[in-house]
Amino acid sequence: MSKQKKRIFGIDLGTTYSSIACVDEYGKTIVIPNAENERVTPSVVFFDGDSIVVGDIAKESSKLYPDEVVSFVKRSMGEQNYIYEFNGKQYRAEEISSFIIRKVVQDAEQHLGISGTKDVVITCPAYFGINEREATRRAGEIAGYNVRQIINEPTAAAITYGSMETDREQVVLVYDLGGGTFDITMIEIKPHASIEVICTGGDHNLGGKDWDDRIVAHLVEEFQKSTGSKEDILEDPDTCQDLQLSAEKAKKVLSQREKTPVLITHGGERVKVSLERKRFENITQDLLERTVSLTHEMLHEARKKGRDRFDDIILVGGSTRMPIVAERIRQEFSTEPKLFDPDEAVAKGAAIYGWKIFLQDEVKDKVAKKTGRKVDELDDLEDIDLKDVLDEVEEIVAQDTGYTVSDIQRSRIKIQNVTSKSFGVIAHDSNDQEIVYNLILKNNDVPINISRAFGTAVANQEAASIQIMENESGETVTRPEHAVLIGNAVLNLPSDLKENTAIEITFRLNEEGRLEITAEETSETRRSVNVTIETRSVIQGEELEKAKTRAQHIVVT
Amino acid sequence: MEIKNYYLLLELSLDPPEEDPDVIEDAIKKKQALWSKNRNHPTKATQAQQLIGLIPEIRQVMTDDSLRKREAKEAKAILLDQEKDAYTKIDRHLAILLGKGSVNKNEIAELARIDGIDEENLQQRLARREKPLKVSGQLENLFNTGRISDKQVNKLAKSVGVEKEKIRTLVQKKEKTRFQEIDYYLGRCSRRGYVTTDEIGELARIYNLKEDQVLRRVRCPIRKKGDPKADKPKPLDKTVEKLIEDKLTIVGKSSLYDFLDLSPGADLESLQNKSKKKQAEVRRIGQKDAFTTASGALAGHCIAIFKTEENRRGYDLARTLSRLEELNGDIEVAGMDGKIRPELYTLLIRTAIKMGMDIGEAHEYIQGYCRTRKIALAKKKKKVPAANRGPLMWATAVILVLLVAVGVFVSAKTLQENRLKSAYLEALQAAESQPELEGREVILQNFLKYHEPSEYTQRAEKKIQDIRARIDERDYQKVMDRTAVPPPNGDYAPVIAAYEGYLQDHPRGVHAAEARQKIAEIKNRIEDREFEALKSIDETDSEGRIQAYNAYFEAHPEGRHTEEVNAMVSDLLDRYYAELKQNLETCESREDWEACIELSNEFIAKFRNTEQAADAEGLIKNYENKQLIRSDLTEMKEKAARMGTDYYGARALYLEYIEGNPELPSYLKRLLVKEVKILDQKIEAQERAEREWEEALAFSGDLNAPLIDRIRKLERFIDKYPNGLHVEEAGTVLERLKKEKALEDQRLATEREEREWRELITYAQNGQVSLSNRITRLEGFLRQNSNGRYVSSARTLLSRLQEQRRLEEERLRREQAERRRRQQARERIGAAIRNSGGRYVDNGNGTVTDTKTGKMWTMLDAAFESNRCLKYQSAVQYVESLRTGGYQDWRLPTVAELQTILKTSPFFPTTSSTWFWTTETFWHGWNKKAVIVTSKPETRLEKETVEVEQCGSALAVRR
Repeated sequence: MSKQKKRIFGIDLGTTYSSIACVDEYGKTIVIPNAENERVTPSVVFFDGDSIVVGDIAKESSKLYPDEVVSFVKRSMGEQNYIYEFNGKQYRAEEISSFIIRKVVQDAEQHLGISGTKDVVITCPAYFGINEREATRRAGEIAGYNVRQIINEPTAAAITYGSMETDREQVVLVYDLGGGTFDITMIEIKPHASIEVICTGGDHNLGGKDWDDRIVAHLVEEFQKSTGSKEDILEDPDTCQDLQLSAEKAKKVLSQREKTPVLITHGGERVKVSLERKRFENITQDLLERTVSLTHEMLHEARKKGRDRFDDIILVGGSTRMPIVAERIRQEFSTEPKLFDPDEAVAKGAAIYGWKIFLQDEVKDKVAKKTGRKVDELDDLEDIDLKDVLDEVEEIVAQDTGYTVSDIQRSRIKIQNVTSKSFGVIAHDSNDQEIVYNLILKNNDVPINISRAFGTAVANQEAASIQIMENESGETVTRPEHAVLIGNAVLNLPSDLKENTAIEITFRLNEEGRLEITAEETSETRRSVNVTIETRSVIQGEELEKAKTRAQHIVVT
Repeated sequence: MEIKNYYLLLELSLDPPEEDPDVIEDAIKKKQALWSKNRNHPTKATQAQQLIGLIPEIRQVMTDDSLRKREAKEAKAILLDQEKDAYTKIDRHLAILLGKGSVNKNEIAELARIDGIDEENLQQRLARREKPLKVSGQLENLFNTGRISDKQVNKLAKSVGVEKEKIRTLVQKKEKTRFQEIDYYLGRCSRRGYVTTDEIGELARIYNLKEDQVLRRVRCPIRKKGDPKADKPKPLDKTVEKLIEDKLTIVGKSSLYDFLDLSPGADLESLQNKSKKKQAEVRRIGQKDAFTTASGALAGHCIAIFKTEENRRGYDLARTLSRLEELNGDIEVAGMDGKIRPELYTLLIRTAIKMGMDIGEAHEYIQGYCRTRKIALAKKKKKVPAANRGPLMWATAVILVLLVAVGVFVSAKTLQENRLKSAYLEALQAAESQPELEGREVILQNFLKYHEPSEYTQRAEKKIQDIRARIDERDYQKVMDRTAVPPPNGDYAPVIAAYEGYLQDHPRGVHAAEARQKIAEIKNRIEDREFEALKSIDETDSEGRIQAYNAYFEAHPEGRHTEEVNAMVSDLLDRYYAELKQNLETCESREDWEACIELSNEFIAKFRNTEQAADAEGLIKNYENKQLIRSDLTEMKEKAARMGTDYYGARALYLEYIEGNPELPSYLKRLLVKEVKILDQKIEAQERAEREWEEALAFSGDLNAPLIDRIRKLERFIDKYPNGLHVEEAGTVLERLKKEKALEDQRLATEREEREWRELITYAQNGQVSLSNRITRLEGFLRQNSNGRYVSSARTLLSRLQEQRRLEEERLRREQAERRRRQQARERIGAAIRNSGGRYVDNGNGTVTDTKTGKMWTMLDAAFESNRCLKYQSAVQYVESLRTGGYQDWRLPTVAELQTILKTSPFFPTTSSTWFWTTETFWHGWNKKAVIVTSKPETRLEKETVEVEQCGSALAVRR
C-alpha cells in the first residue's frame, strides 16, 4: 500500500497579503511560491469580465479598473451589510475571500505538482470574534476545501518561533501588526511540549493600511496646497487608487530611507511631494500610540492571571518593518524586540499545525485499529493505558510517512488558546434593567464549559429564547449597548415542565473559538433540550449552498 | 453635524417626496454598493462604515409610510436651515460692498462667484436687504469718525427715509455691540494672562475710542510686550487636523474639548486624565462599528495632542486658523477691485478678532493673505528706502585702496635700496673714524652681517682684507720693539711669549717664519745658561744637585748637554741606591709593603730615567703583588662573610685560594686553615638545623596531628634558630597554621552556636510546649547572647510568639465576652418565652414548643448559633444537620409557619437577626429567589423576597 502523503496546507489569509505553506517530506516547513513565483500574494481580487484574477496582476489592474477590483476584504468579514456588486451580481466578503484561498491553493498544487488537496488550516487574527471566524471558515468551504481548523495568527507565529528554539522555555509577546489588523498576545512556549496563550488583545481595525491612508490624506493636502484648489481629488477613482498604491510604496521605502519623492497626477496637473520619514512618523504617531496602549492593557490583564514578566517581544507582520515600531517598543518596554520572519512566520506556523493534525490523524487511526476504540473517542492521547500502544504506533507511522519518530512525538505538542472576547446572555438585574451577564470572560483558557441555570416562567413553557452577546468587557456584568448580538439560541422545551423549572444551559467555547450550546432540564428525568442557534452575520444555509455552487463554475487565476 | 436624514442620504427627490418602493429600494442598493466600495477608502472609510451600519434601519424607515413621511418633512426643514446659514455669510459680504455706498453689476457677479450662489438669487437678496445694510454701513462710517451726534442722526434719518427713533435705537445697539466686542477680546486675554499696551492702543484705534476708555474696561494685567514664543506655537499638522475633523463629524462633536466634555480652557492634567479614561471606555465597548472606531481614534489623538502644552496650543492654533479660512471670503470681497480701503481693513480686523484671533495675528493673517492674492492695502505711506549710491562709492573706495597699495609697494622697494647705500656709506664713515684697526674691521664685519648681499658686499670685504694686513704689520712691529732690548735679568720668557703671541694671532702672517727662528735661538741660549749653572753647584749639596739635574732634564729632555749631566749624576746615584736597598730590607721584614713602595717611589722621583730607577720600579711591582695578596685575603673574608650561611661556599673559596697560591706565607696559611675549621663547625650546625627544620615542616603538614601541637613545634624551632636559613618559611607556615587554627576555632564556635540555636528553635516552635515557657526560653537566650548571628531571628521569633500570646489572650477574652453575651441573650429569650402567657413553652434543651400549633422550634436561630449569616443553601444544610434537643428531623419552616410565630401576637422572641429563610423559592429568569419573613414584631405580613445568594438566618422547625 503506497502511502500518498496527505498534505494539509497552512494558509495565512491576510488583509493585504496572503501566503501558503506546507511541511515537505523531510519535515521542513516551506512557503510555496505562486504562479508569478512570488511567496506572498496580494489579497486583491479583480473581476475581469467572466473570470476572476487574484494577486499581483489584480493589484496592477486596480490602477486601470478601480471599480472592478476589491481589496482589504478581510476587514469586512462577518459584516452582514457589506455587499460587493459587480456586473449585476452580488458577492459577500466570504465569497471574495474564497477566491483568494482558491488562488493560493491552486498555485501551490501546481508548483508542487500535486492535486486533489482537501484539507487546509486557515489563520485569523486572535482578535476575531465568532462571526468573523465563522466567515473565515465559510470562505474555505466555499472554495471547496475542508477547513480542519481556524487558528490564531499570533499562535501560528509562536509555533514557528517555538520550533526554532530547541530547549529554552520562555514567555514571549507576539506583536503582530499586519495590513489590516493588530494583535498583541502573550504566549508561553515550552519547546516540543506546549504552546500556551496566556492573554490577548488587539484591534482589528488597525493595521498598515491605516498608515497608508494617512499618507494619502497628506498627499491630498499637499496637492491642494500646491495647486491652490480645494477639490477632493480622491473623488476620482483612478487618482484614489493611484495614490493608495503610491502611498503603500512610499511607506515601504521610508523604512529604508529618510525620505522619498511621490508624484501625484490629477486632472492634468503633476505635483511632486517629498515625503520625509519624520513627517510620516508625526502624522501616524497616534496609530502607534494605540498599539502601545493596547499592549499595556493586555499586560494588565495578564497580571491578573499572575503573569507579570516576559522574556522577549517578537514582531510579526509586514508593518513591523517600519523602524519607528521597533524604536517605540524598545523605548516603552525596555526590551529589544526581534523582527521575526514578518511575512512568512504565520503561514509556516499554520503549516506546522496542519502537519501536526495530519500526524495525529495517522496515529489515532492506527491506535484505533490496534485497540478497537473509535477514532472520535481518542480526543486526547494522554491516556495512560494508551502509552505502550502509542510508542509502537509512532514507530509505524514514522516508517510509513518517512518522518522521524521524534517528529511524530513532537506532533503531540499541546496548543492552548484563550478567547479574545467575552460571551454572555441578556439578563435582568435586581432593578429589572437589561444587562449582559458574561458567562465566559475574555482571556479565559479555551476550551471552556460554563453552566448556568435558567428558570422557566410559566408552566408548560414551550420555548425559551436566549440572546447571545459577544463583548470586550472583562467584567461579569456589562451594558447591552457595549455588546454585539451574535445569535439567538432557541430552546425547544419538553412540553410538561412545571413553572419555575430550572434549565441548565452549558456554554462551550472550543479551541477554535466556536460556541456550542447545550441544555438540560433539571427535573428527575434530566432530558436534554434541543437548541438551535441562528447567527445573522454569516452566510449560511441556502445562501451558503448557492455560493458554493457558484464557486464551482468560476475560474480563478 | 452629519446629515443623517435618509431622503438626503439616498438623494431621493423631495419635491414631491419619492414614494415608489422600487425606486427607493434601488437607491438603497445603489448606496449600499457605493458605501461597500468605500469601506476601505483612505479618508471616507469610517463614514462608509457608519452608513453601512444604518442600512437595516434605513430600510425599516423608508418602507413604513408614516416614518417615511416624517423623514421627508425633516429633510425639507434641514435644507431650509442650510440656506439660512449660507445667507449670514452673504449678508456680511454684501454689507462690506455696500459700505462704499452702492454695488455695481461686476461686483455682484464677483460676489456670486466667491460665495457660490447664482447672480439672480444674489440680486434678489440685495434688493431685499439693501436699505438696512446701507444704513448699517453708514452708521459704521460715522462711528469711525467719532461719537455720533444728534445732528448726524437726523441727517442720516432724512437721507434714507427712516424714522429718527429707529436710527437712534440702532445707534445704541451698535454701540453696545462694539463694547461687547472689546470686552470679549479683553476677556480672552485673561486666559492668556495679560494684555499688551500695543493691543490696548490697537483696540482704541479700531473702535475709534480714547485709550483710557479701553483701559477702563481692562481686567487683566498689562504688559509692555507679549511673549512671542508663547503666542506662536507650531500649528497642528494639516493632515492630522483634517482627520480629527472628519472623525469629530462622525461622533457629532465640534472639537476635541467637546469630545472629552471639558472646556477649551481646561488644564492639561485634566485633559490627559480624561483622554485616558475615554480611551479605556471606548475599549470596553469594543465594537467594530464606525462610531466606536472613530471614538477610539479620537481618544488616541487626544492622548497625543494633550501630552504637552506645546502640542495643545498647536491644536488650539489650528482650530483658530481653520475658522479664519472663513475670513478669506470676506477679504476677497473687500479687495474685489484689487485694493482694500482702510475702513474695510478695520472691519476685517474686527471680524477676525470676533472669530477669536489676537490683533497681531489678525494683522499678519490678513496682510499675508493679501500678499498671496495680490491685493493691495491702502495704508499709510511707508518711508521710501534711500537710493543706493552704495555701489559707486564702493567702486571708488576699492580703486583708491588699490592705488595706495601699489604706491606703498613701490616706495618700499626704493626705500630699501636707499637704505642699503646709506648703510654702507655710514659704515665706511664710522670705520674711518675708528682709531683702532680692529674697530674698523668690526664695523665692516657688522655691515656684512646685518645686510643682505649686494654690490656693496664685495667692496666691504676688500676693505676688510686691507685692514687685516695692516694689523699684521703693526703687531710684528710691536714685537720687534719689545725685543730690541735684551732682558735685564736674563729672563727671556717674556720675549718668547711676545713672539709666541704674535704667532698665535698671525700663524700665517708675513713674519711668521722669522718669529719662529727667533724663538729657537733664544731657547738654545737659555739651555746653555742653565747648564753652566748646573756645573757650578757645590758637590756637597746632594739635594741641590739632584734637583738641578732633574730640572735640567725636565726642561731639556733633548738638550745638547744631556750626556755630560748624566755622568755628573752617576755616583750620587750609586750612593742613594745602596741606601734604598737597606731601607727596603727593613720594611720587607715588617711586611709593610706600603712603606717599601713609598721609599722606592722617592728614589725613582730623584733619579728618573736611570737603570736603578727601573729596578726600583720592578721592586715596586713586587710589593704591589704582595699588597694584592693581603687584600685578597681581606676580600675573601668579606666574601665569606657575605655568603652568610653558605658555609660550603665559603669553605670552597678558601680552599680554592690555598690551592691556587701554594707559596703563601705560613702564618697566612694558618689563618686560612683556622677559618676553614670554623666554617666546618658552622656547616655541621647548619645541617643539624636543616634536619630539625625538615622534621618540623613534615610535622606541620601532618593532618592527623592536632593543630596546636604542630604550631608549638614550629614555634620551638623558630626560637632555636631565630636567624636560621628557614626562619622566614617557618614563619609563613606558622602563620598559615595559626590562621587555620583560628578558622577551626571559629567553626567550632559557630557549630556550637548553631546547635544551640536549632535546639532553641525546635523548642520555640514546639506546639506542645506552652507559649509562656517558649517565650521564657527565648528571653533567656537573648539575655545571654547580646550579639550573635541569630539574635535578630530570635528577636523576631520572640515578638511573634509574644504576639501569638497576646492574640490568644484576646481571643479568650472575646470568647468569654461572647459566651456572656449569648448567655444573656439566651436568658433574655428564655425569660420572654416564659412571659409569653403560656403560648410558648421552654423545653429546657434549646427547643421551644408552640402550644398553639404544637410545632417545635429551636430557641435560637441559625445565624446566632453559628455566629455568622447564612446563604440559602447553607441554611438548608444547617437545618438538615441540626441535632438540637436530640432531634434529627429539623427543617426550614414554610411562610405560613413563620407567620404564625413572627406575625401573630404574642411574637416569638428573636435575636438580632432581621429575617429568616422559608421553603418558598422561585425563579426570576436567571436568578433564583426565596421568600423571607422579617422579625419585625407586627401583625402585617408583607411578602418580601431576596436572591438566594443573600445572607441571612433561619429558624428551624419540626413536626
